[in-house]
Amino acid sequence: MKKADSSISAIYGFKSGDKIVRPLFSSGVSAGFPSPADDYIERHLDLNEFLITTPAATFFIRVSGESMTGSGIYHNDILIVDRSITPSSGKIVIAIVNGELTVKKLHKTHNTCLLIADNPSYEDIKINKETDLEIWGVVTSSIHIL
Amino acid sequence: MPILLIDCNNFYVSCERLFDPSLRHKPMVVLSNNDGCVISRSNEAKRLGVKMGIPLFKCMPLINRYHIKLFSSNYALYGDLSHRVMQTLKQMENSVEVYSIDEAFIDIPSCDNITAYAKKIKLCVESNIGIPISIGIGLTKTMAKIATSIAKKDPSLNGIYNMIEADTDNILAKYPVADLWGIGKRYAIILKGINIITAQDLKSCDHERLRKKISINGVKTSLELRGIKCFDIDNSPDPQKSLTYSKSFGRKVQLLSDLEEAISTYTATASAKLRKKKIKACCVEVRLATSSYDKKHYQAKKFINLISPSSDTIILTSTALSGLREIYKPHFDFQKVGITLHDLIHEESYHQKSLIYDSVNENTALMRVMDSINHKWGDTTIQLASAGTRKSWLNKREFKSSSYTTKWNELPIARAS
Repeated sequence: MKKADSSISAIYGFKSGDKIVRPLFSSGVSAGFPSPADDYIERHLDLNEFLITTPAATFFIRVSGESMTGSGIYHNDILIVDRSITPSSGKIVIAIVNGELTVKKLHKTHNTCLLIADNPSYEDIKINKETDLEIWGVVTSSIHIL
Repeated sequence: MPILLIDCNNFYVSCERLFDPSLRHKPMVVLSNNDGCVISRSNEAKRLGVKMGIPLFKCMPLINRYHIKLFSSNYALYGDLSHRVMQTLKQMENSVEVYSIDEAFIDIPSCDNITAYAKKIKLCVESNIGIPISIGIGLTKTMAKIATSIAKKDPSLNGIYNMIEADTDNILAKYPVADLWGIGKRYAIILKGINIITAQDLKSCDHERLRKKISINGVKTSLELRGIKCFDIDNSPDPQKSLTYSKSFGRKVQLLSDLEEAISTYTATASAKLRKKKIKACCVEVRLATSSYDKKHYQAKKFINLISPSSDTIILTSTALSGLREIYKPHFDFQKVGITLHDLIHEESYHQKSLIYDSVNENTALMRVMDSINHKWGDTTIQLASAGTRKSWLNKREFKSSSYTTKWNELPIARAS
């Protein structure tokens, strides 16, 4: 008969605590010569982190039409639009023109305001006091599926 | 330390207008589940006489005469935009209590110009999210609520009202006690009996008398009107104790098979929510009811305790179905069935009640696969057979707008032309 070589001295409940994050190193610890990569910590590359600075103010909008192909924006692309960025001359924006969302490049001088389409076959929209212009948000990137 | 109440204006209507600016300045309403009643109105619809809560069929003449636009409730959109508003507030301030889908209280450490700071918050939310808000400022939550209602009613205030610097007694003397937060119509009738009609009357009345008539909360409201905080900001809400999924049907339902489909569908959604929050339920409640207006009225409920806590769709559905079968009676026109999962506990914190049954019946790997498929392809891509495919009892949402911020194939569209 096998001799009992252990006995239970106590039972503890599992207590879940806060997570403590520690960096993951690319190779195990060894007693010999260290790898140059040991000084570098691995991490995942996160598209959200790369493309979006203010998540609460960022929206995705799909493009319909060809007027912005000169800026690399094509029909059916998904635009990443940040409402927290102040619109300025030269930026691609989503503008509300006559109740509709449109994609244009904003061009401001001290006395004029233009919404420019890149594609030369589309006309620029000149904004004056009568046109109801509002910038909905600034386009930061465009996602184009090949 | 003043309290701010942030309140989104006509919230559901504002959400719809964000992605369809052509709706601005137009009369429009949003309807409740099953397109039953009006639950949000634009200012234009209010001016045309559409009352809050009115059943749709009652206001159809108004709707048709003025071409008032109708929208079914789009909670996926409203929930997402609400979350964005609250996140924006939390980034500006530490002490934020999310009170409802469109309201939050903020406790501000004393600052020099509180009204200017409120303007800054308003500008930030409105430009970042695009939802118009009103802000009321007061010494207590009750007074902040009064201030917000004043801010909303008077356009010259531009959406912000600071009651701290105002003639409080004068304002309270004109404010009906029924409109106070925490009072309401029922208490107002009781208070009228002891000559308390305005908020000022409530503020200055005898507290012993008040406690006897409408409980300690009435006394707390009175103290709040005096500038004494009784309701604190609650940054960390109590953990959820139960989860309910209950909906009215699109038509009256008589057959047990239809009720079983509905309960299975609801339980699947509720179970997926539990797994997402990493919580389990200890008790299942099933409820069944006809309309209370029906001559032949029936309602019943059944509680079943689980052998061990579970978030498994199969276990919870079979438990719910057995409960339903016990309370079902034929030849009734049922309007509603619902499931509530009670005694919710976090997965990691529960102690095993039974070593024999624990985890034997749980299909953890299967649930993981189900969740991952449904997450990728849509909520009802894979379901239990008992949830059915035809679902002829589903409620109506005839006028629903797109899931602009929650479905890739329903994004808002901007024209490049």
